[in-house]
Amino acid sequence: MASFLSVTASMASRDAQFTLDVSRGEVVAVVGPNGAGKSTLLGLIAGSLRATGGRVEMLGAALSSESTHVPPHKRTVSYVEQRPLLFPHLNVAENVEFGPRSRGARRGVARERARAELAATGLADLAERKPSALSGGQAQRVSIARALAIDPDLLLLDEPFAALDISVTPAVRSLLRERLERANQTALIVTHDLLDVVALADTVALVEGGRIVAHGPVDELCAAPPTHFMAEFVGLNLMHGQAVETDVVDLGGGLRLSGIGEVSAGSPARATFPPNAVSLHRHEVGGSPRNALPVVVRDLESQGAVVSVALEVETGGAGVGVGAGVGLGSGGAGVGAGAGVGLGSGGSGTAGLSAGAQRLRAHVTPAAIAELNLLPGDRVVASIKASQVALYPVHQKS
Amino acid sequence: MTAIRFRSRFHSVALSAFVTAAVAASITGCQTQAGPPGDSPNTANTTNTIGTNPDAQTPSADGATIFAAASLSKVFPLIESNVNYSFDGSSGLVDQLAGGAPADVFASADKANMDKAVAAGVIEGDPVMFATNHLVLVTPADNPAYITGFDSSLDGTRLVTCAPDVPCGAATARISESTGLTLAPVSQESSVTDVLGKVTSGEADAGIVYATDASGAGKKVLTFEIPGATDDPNTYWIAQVKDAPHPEAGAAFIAAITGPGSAQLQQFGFGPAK
Amino acid sequence: MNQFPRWAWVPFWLGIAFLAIPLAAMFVRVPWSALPELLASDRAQDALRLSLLTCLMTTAIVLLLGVPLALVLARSRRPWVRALRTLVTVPMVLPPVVAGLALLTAFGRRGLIGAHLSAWGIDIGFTTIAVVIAQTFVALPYLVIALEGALRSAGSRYERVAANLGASPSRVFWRVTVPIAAPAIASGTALAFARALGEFGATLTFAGSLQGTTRTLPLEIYLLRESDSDLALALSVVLIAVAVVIVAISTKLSSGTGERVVAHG
Repeated sequence: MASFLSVTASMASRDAQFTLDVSRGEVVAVVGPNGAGKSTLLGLIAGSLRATGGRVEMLGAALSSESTHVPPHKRTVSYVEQRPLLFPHLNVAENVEFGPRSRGARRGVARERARAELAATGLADLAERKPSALSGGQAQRVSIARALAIDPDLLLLDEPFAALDISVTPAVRSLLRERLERANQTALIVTHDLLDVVALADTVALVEGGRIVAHGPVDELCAAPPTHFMAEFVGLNLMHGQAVETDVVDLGGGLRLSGIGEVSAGSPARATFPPNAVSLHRHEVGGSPRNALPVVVRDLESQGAVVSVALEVETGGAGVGVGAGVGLGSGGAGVGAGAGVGLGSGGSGTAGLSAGAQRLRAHVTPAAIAELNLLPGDRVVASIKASQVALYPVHQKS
Repeated sequence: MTAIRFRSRFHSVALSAFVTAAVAASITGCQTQAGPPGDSPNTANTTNTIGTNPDAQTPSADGATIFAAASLSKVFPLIESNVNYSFDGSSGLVDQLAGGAPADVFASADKANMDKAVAAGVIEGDPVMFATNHLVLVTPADNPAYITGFDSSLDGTRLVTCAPDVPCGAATARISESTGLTLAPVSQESSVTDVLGKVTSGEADAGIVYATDASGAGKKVLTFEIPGATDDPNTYWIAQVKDAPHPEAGAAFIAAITGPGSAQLQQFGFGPAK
Repeated sequence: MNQFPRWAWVPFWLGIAFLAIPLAAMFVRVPWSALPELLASDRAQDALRLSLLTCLMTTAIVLLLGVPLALVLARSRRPWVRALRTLVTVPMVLPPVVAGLALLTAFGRRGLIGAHLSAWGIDIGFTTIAVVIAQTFVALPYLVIALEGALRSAGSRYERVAANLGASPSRVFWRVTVPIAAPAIASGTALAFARALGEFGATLTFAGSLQGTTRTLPLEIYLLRESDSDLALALSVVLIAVAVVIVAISTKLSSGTGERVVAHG
């Protein structure tokens, strides 16, 4: 099946090499750590960056290849940035008209298009306002209307809510969702907020280290995060190991983790569990059905009513870590949740974790911290309820 | 340094008789006699060992401040080196003197500005003429417009003159009138230096400047005499400034210029005082 | 609650006095009652007309060349463009007479370019064109430097947005860059106009001085000191008045936040 957007492009100066296929109407949430290359990916698609190798194709035509580079203004791609960046010398209606006019629409046609877009965005009353007279939320709505007014084949959004006041974000988000749905708009949205992923996206493209390490349905990647970043992004702990039984994983150094799931003995597996399933003790709790891991406290961070404790598993000097050869990150292909299409795995093979201790996070009460007198560097025992540990097999790239 | 010092002193001393008799008395009046010898920082009395009459208060020009027309900037330092010069346009110097600038001597490139200085009340005694200068026609050395002299060959060429507002321009206008030759300059400059610069750079085909300027430009210009120009020369005047800080040195300077200095002045193209 | 030490008032007033007293002194000397008559004279009228004409021509050329020049300087990442930025500032620090000599050696009858032009029968020297060339040479950097700084600090984000909306580079320039930089362009233009109006040394050296053709206000004032100081003072007052108006406009525009309505479409 020919994809709507196909990226196999690299940018040598940023050590980036992306492979991504997007279907028509698909909304992709692009997530990843800071500096992973999310904006580079968008820049390559928008045309503000020029790929040093590979191709970017949309609707079967090359936007960028060895021999061609279609400049941004000739691509049917709209770009909404973190800040609204409304032209300060134009009023709201003129801002929205700007795109259609730039693409050759007659003034009357452009004006009509802008009016319709503003009405759909609930901004008709503000048409004559100058951007300086708008609130942040209003301005970003205008910015979205402006981007949609050119009827783009592809809409790129780079953290569109990051600069907004928290109180207005939900309204702008639901507006965006409505607009995306109504137009069956294909879009890529870079975000650091799980809510955006859940509310807006069909799939998640996970970018780490200049590569797309996973691309798959939202439900799948959230339930079984393939990397630590993704796990933290969805608020889960993620550990890797080798299945020794259908419900036991060997984390290395003889440490074992029991959980719920179906893994096959001898193959790589991963385990996820929420931070509040972890409790901390000074000494091992005898006779408990719980999993018990020796850990070192790395950091303590207050998060409202709980304290988030960063921990590192002590593997007893065995130096096991995670085998670099394990094909982590070849994200689960499988049933598409939203768009209902088969999504190619985007991973480039081995997104091997750096060898070293596995990390996890525990959410405990401040009272418990006080009782344990916990400080960074302390050695404690982390016990994890087996009933809250989910075990998944790691799909090895064939 | 020593040699220069000696020479300037030599002039002063050797002409002391002339100074006292002819100049100091007439120009500076009682000023030279009024001040005690010690008033001047470089009193000749204490340093002078040469001279026929050691008792004569032979004045030195050392330390005097001289305001002189810019056209004198090359020749004056050769006549007297141990004084402080301020060379500028004559009219600018009058403005400065009227504004209270401290000077001992004022040397003007024309009578009008000296008259202005007298009228402004900044001059002590009567000014004396010490040199003349007359207008000449100059062309670039290669004479690109084939000019044959101050005649109809100037028609249609790029002639540059001084503006009538400044003395050299006024003199040019008088010459034009007396000779009946109508001039159509492409530029009327505010100073004769600018006129000469336009000619030496080749921008202009011809220029009307003073003989001294032509002489100073050497081989860079061809010089043509203007008929009747010497009959209406520009006159250079020198006088002591009222309330001068060094009246005796000033008087000595004037004596040097009007006396032995005339030889040097003529070498630079100046004509004799009339 | 002042943001400065109290003693700063002393140098403040000294500095103000130093700047204001010469101007005040001149205003006292100006023969106000005779002013209309003085300014009605041929010489005054010619100088005024010539100065305004040449400054307007200069300003037009400065805008045509300067705005794109500043834009390339601000946006291009080529190393040699960066090197050229230094070159642009040179005429600002050049003594005016040196600027005149430089122009003479380029456009003069025996100059690098002038010699060829002269062979074609085009002589620039002693013409009004020469005045405009001299003024442009010294005034252009003022617009370029002011505008380049503004463009640089504004960044290219609006241009990027416009391109993503489908605007061609030229459309981005006319519809986005220029309107957004309008305050900086206006204040840079005012600076350049003021510099051109005051231009003296380069004009004197390069263009000459002939009433109605090359003798602009400053040259006429310089010359009139010799013969008619009353008129010189009167013209100086006119020059100061024009300069004050321009500086006021410049200050107002550069402090503006770009809240002007620019026709779109």
